[in-house]
Parts: sequence; C-alpha cells; structure tokens
Amino acid sequence: MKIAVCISNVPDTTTRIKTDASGQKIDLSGVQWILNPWDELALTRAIELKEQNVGMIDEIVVVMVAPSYGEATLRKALAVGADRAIRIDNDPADSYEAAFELASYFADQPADLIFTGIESADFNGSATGAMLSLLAGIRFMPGVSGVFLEGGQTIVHQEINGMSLRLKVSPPLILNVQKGIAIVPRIPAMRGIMAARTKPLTVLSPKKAGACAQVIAYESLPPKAAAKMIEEDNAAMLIEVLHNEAKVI
Amino acid sequence: MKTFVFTTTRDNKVPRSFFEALTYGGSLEGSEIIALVAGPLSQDQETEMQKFGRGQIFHFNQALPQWYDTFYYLHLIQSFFDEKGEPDLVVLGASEINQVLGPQIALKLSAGYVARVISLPIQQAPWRVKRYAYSGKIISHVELKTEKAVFLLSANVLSPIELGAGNFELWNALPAKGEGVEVLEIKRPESKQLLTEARIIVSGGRGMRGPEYWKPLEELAEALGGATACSRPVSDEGWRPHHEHVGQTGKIVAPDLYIACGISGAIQHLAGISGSRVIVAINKDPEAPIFQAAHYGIVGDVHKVLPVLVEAARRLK
Amino acid sequence: MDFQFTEEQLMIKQAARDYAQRELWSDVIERDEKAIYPEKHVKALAELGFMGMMVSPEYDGGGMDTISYVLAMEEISKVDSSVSVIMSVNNSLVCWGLEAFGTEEQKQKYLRPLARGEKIGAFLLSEPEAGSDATSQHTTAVDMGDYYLLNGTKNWITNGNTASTYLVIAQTYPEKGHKGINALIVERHWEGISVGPHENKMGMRSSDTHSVMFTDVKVPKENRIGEEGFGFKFAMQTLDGGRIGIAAQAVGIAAGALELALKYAKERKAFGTEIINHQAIAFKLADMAVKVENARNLVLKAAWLKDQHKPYGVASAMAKLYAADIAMQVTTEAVQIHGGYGYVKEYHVERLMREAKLTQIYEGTSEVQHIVISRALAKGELLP
Repeated sequence: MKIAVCISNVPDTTTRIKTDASGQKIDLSGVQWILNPWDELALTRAIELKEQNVGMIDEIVVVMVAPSYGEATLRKALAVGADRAIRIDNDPADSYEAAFELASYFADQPADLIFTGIESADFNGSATGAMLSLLAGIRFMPGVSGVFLEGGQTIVHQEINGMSLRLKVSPPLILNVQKGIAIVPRIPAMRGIMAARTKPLTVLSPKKAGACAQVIAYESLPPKAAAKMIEEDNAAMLIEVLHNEAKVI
Repeated sequence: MKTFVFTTTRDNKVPRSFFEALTYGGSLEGSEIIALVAGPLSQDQETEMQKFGRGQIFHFNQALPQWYDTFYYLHLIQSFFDEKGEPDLVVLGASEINQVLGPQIALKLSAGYVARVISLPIQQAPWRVKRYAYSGKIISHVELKTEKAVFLLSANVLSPIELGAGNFELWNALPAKGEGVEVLEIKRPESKQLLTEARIIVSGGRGMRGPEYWKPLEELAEALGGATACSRPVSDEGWRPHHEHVGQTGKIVAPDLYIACGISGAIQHLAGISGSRVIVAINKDPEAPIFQAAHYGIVGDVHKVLPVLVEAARRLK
Repeated sequence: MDFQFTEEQLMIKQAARDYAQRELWSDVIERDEKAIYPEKHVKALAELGFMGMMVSPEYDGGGMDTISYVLAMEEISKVDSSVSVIMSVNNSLVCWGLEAFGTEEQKQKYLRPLARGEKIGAFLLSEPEAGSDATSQHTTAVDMGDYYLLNGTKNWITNGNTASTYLVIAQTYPEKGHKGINALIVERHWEGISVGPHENKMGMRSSDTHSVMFTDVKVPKENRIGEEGFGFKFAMQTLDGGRIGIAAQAVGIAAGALELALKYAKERKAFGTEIINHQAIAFKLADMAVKVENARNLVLKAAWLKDQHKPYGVASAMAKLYAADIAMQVTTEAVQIHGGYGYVKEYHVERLMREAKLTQIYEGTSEVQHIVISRALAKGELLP
C-alpha cells in the first residue's frame, strides 16, 4: 500500500502578515515557513500507520506544489518520516491550480490513500482536496478525524455536520483530515534528520492549468476599539449591556 | 442571472446560513434565485421558509444518506441543474457540507471558487469579492477570471432579511449513491447545536482550572440558548470533547456572541473566533491577549463571575 | 566568514524549540517547585536523539555537529535548564569523553546505550574539598593488580542517582600528583556505591544532584579510560567541551528571559502605553539583546572551532564566562521589567534568574574561567 500526503508550506502562525509597498502582495521577507498544521498532523498519522502496520505500507510520499522555497519544509517532512518527496514547481494562485497539478501527478503516480489537510493556514480555502477528488476521480472522505487499517480495508472516522461516524471503505481514497487525526505533530528525530540526507526529493515541471481566481489587493482589518471593561463586582451589568447595547442576547 | 442556493437540512430544520445565502444572492443586481433544500423539514420550517424565502425554492424531501456521500450530493445537484438549467452564480451558506460541495460544484460549472466571502461583491463583471486570508489576519480582494462564480460565505456576513416573496415547491430526483461504504457506527454528540452555526457560544480555557468546574459555564450557555466550546489545551487535556475545540486547528466559529472564560487568547485561538460579532473576555489576568480581541471584558475570577452572569441571564429570559 | 546556518541545523533548533515550548513549558513550574525529576522528558528527548546527538551513528548517536548541539541546548534551556543540564552532561561530558578516549570495547558496551539515551551518564569530578581544583583528588583508586579499589566521596553530581554509568576521576598514585589520576567507568549498581539525598537547590531544582560515596568498589582494569595516569588530562579536555554546553545553556536562559520580557513589555501598559514605549524599558531590552547576541556568538565560535578540530579551550572558557555572567544580568533585568509579576513563579523569569546563577558556578566557576583565559593570555596564546 502506498500513502501520499499533500503538504503545503505556510507562514508560521505567529507571523505578522503585512503587505509590501504595492499593497497587492504579502511581504514574504522574514517569514518563517512551516509545514501547514493540518498537513503535519496528516503526515504524523501516515507515519503512525506505517509503524503500526508493519510491512503493509510500502512508502509514504509527500507532494507539494510550490516554488523552490518549499523544499526546506519537504525535507522536514522527510526527516519526520516520509520516504520520498515530490515538489511540483508551480506557485499556484488558487486551489484549482494546485488541485490540477496534484491530479496530474496522481494520474501518473497513483496512491492508495491520499491525505489532504482540511485547509491551509494561508488562503484557508479548504478546496484543494475536494477539487483533487473530482479531477482525479477518487472517492473523497471529508471531515476525517481518524483512520485505521484493518485487513486491507480502511476504517475512517468522520466527523461532519454534528455527526460522528465510523466507516469501512476500500482504497483508493482521498482523506481530508481535520482535528483528531493525530494529537501531537511529530518532531523530527536526529536519526530521521540524518536519514533525510539520502532520501530522494524530486522536482517535477508543472502542467500550468492556469488559475480561476487571483488576489488583486489586500486590505488590513479595520482597527478595533479597546474593550469596554466592566468591574468584577458589577458583573451582572454585562448581561444588561449585551442585551441593550450590543443587542446580541 | 440565475443564482443557485443550496442547503441540506439537519434535525428537520434549515440552517440560518441558508437564509444568509438567500439574502446575499437576492441582494445582487439582476439575480433570480433558484434554491434547493435537501432533506426532511418540519411544518414550522415551511413557514420560516415563506418568511425569509425569495425566488423559487425547491424542496427535495427525502432522507439523506447516513454518511457524507459527496457522490450523492453532487449527483443530486447535477440532476437539478439538468432539469432547471445551470446557474451563473452559486451562493452557499457556511456549513461543513457546503465547504466540500462548493469546490466540486465550481469544477462542474467551470466556475471560479471563493471561500469565506465576507462582503457583497465589489463588482460583478468580472467578479470581485472580499474574503479573509491568513487565518483572519488580513482581507484579500479576489478577482475571478471565469464568468461563473461559486461563493461560500463566511458565517454571520449579513443578517437574513424577511421578504416573504418565495415560491416553495417540492422537487424530486433519484440521486445515485456512492457504493462500497459500510457504516459501522453512527454517533451523535450530545450538543444540540453545531458550533459552526451557533449564535451564542460560551467557551472555557485552562483558567477554568478543571473539568469539574464546567457547570456554571454550561448553565450560562443554557440560559443564553448557546453552545459550549473550549480552547485547545482544554481539549488536549481531555477536559472537554475534541469537537468543542475552537481555534485555528479546531472549529472556526462566527457567532453573534462569543464569551471566553479563562482563555488567555493565544493567536491560534483568536484565529478561530475572529469572525465573531461580539467577543466577551473574562480573565483574571488583565494582560491576557484575549482583551485585545474583546469588545467587552471583565478582569476577575471566572468562578465568581459566571454564577452572577447565569443569574442575570436567567432573569433576562 | 559565513553566518548562515545550514537547513539541518535550523531543523534541529526548531525541533528542540517545538519540544521545549510544547512539552516542557506546561509543567516546568511544578517540576521546579517540587523538585520532580523530568523522567518522561528525558525519555522523550532520548527518543528524539538529543541525548547523544554528537556521537557518531556508528555508536548509535545522532552524528550532528557542535553547532547543532548548542542551538538545541539554547532552545531547551529557554524553558528548562534542569532538563538541559541532564542533556549537557550526557552529551558533552560522558558521551564525548567515551567516544574520544574510550576503547572499542568500552564504546560498544557503554557508549551505545548512552548515545541512544536508554542509559544516562554522570561525570564525577567534584569533591567536598576539591571543586575547582581538580588536581587534588581525595577519592582513591588503588591498583590491586586486576582491578582498582575505589574509595571516596564525590559531590554535586548531576544525574547522580539516575545515571547508570559513572565516569569517576580518582587518584591512583598520590605521589605523582595530577599525573597519578585515573578516569574509570563505574556502573551504578556495583557493590559499595551509595548515593546521598537529593540536594535541595536554589535553581535547576528538578535535575537530580547528589553526592556519591564509594566504599571498596572493585573497578576492572579494562574500565580505565586511556593510559595509566590519563585521568586529569581526560577531565580537563572533557570539561573544555562541557563548557560549550553550559555556555549554550546560559545563552538559552538569557534568551528565554529576553523573549519573556519582550513579550511582557509589548503587552503590559503603564501611563497609557505599552511599557516597551518607555525608554527606560526599551533601552534595557536593547542592552539585553546585545548581550544575548554577543554571548551566542562566542558560543557559536567555540562550537565552530570544535567542529573544525581547532583548539577551543580558551574560546569555550570565554563563552562560558561571558554567557554565564550575562545570563545573570539579563534574567535580573527581565525580572525588573516584569515588576511585581516577575517576582512570582507564574511568570517564569524568577526561575530563570535562579537557574542563571548556577551557570556561573558549575563546570568551572567564573573565577576558574578567568584563570584559563588569563593564563592563555600570559602565554601569548590569544595573539593572532
């Protein structure tokens, strides 16, 4: 069995996001890039599956659609435990462009389980996995909060729309993973960092389908007024102002 | 311009996000609404539909698959388009199901897709809308290169307006089901409200000290008719179930009122609540970053403040 | 000249940071207060390879350079120096000493499990009456033909109780002075070894510091490191490297205090604005940042020299002296910036201040570092 994890490279959560002088692009200087948190959990789960099901999983491939600066993140994924890394050399402007590159890759290099994170921490579009599924013609499992392997079958925990389900389903599958898939993202160990030195990282040329959408400008959030403080001894006042002033209750 | 709006029902009810989407679609120039509601509805919901409805609303009155079968929904919508014609614009209210369907409908229609839209379009040709990016840290203006568009709205972007101009009728189809999936178990979490749809959320953090102290928080949620939630450390510690975790890697919520009790306000938490209309912070540490994000604040002990609030909220109702 | 870290060095720094901020932070105050040994953290860090990170992969180590090691030490020390001192002793004293001077058999038997972090080592040099002056060892290892008979007491031993492998410095031929000293590998469970109570320390309270007593302990000859009489040289050379680890720890303590003070100064308001906007605070922070950067560069220089196999004894003494001193200064200022909050445990900086003090004392006091540096100066060793 082969597992692929689609990963993206995003600015660290604590990064202050600001635009460059043009106001049309994010100023990327000094940005610390990290493995997108959901993708990191997906990768962690993929590695756990490989460890728990000895001999069942032949390889874990990580796939990223990104310019060359994504490679540090790919190598981290290798250090954490992926066997092979693929970078498709494109800087996608929207989810469609990213999904198209991934679909073309998987058409050529199929995998049994394809993990996608529920969203990326940059554009928060939550669309790549769903589009990939339709483009690649592979069943899509959204809201996956757990995955287990039992005798060639995949047991998927799905939490969506207030329902919690346990499903048995056969690969190939695209698993759109969310909270719960793994608890703590794996930290690379020295052994893994050493091993990553010799693991292959392949760069593929893009198919360049062209994007359907593009960001033409950025706007900062409107400034927020300071919080109105209510004395602790007068806490009941809060309910009153929420009712009469804010009109939310 | 034909504008398609879609929702599934839950507990025989239509979510508010559907009316938000109807209002959004109806506010656009030259827009003719054609909507589809999938799933059973209770009687009073039909009245509700008449109140907020507009354009033509079709009701597919069948029990929906137990699991989230994307194949089924896509096929259902395709049948609808085959019969009623393809729309020029699709407006979807914020829901976990629409979040998955949106991108797929966009592909079917060769339409551009924008998620988390926070405003009416800046312009219609070409389409230009605003949305949040970088987990709510900035607003981006997105322009589509396609004629058609699919917009997934952020929750609470606008208030549904009562028009009462809708035409509500039944519509039927025989959507194909996805094969090869065996449902082993179905559980419904105890919470009656979906966090993503709740209008009021009362949320607790590490400052609550432990799961045994949650009672007043639950009472406040109940008194206000809201849902309970928690911060990441609380769900990681197992004090509260995972599905209550609000924050960047948990649920992204946008209620009218978010009351943060004993939550310091880490940036990851703020990323999950930034769409809330009113944020209230109760924390003993006056320097807690949550106060920077809050509209109202009380510096004090949650365990003293909460019972007072519960009592006041009960008096109000 | 190249100040660029490699991608791998940055990955290791980030891994250490992730572990420290995610795992060590949440219970460090409790561990400090109750002096609880960080057992689960030592185990987790061992699994990540941090306990033998510079040992060659041939002996199950991480095969990383000294630069990576000091970066990791800094990140762990920003949060908890009780954990980083365990790491430092195991890495730069015990593992390094064994790898550099041990026989193949000793490496196979003792180094491997230490490098994997399955076992923890301790370095037993200090004595009740000989701390800085390592030439006067009262612990004796009498040559009995097949074995040495070990007697004496060692003080202030980090990992004293948890270690399974001791490297003990003892006098075999008192008449030969420091040339009669040997370094012996001793197993904790051997007969005749007793461990004193946990020292109730001012800082680094959760690392287990004990005195260790030896009464007629038989140490096989094959457990001697190096030639007869090599012990003093062994101790001095090993401590040269150890100082780099402690210097990195001091940088971490200072940098951790600076991070906390900076965060606090940006949040805390006084006279209508965040206190970082007051020059009195802003300039303090600027001075703290310069000191941290300076100390970090000294540590990196020493680590780089070691990686280049160039002499690093003086460089490591300078790094340790300066880093320990500024750790004391920077943490004190961090407490000051926090005001009253800084004096309570919840805000971490008072603990960092207590931890900083120890870096001026152990693995060679600041006074000893002055001796090392001034003697080198006198010999003209520092001239270009």
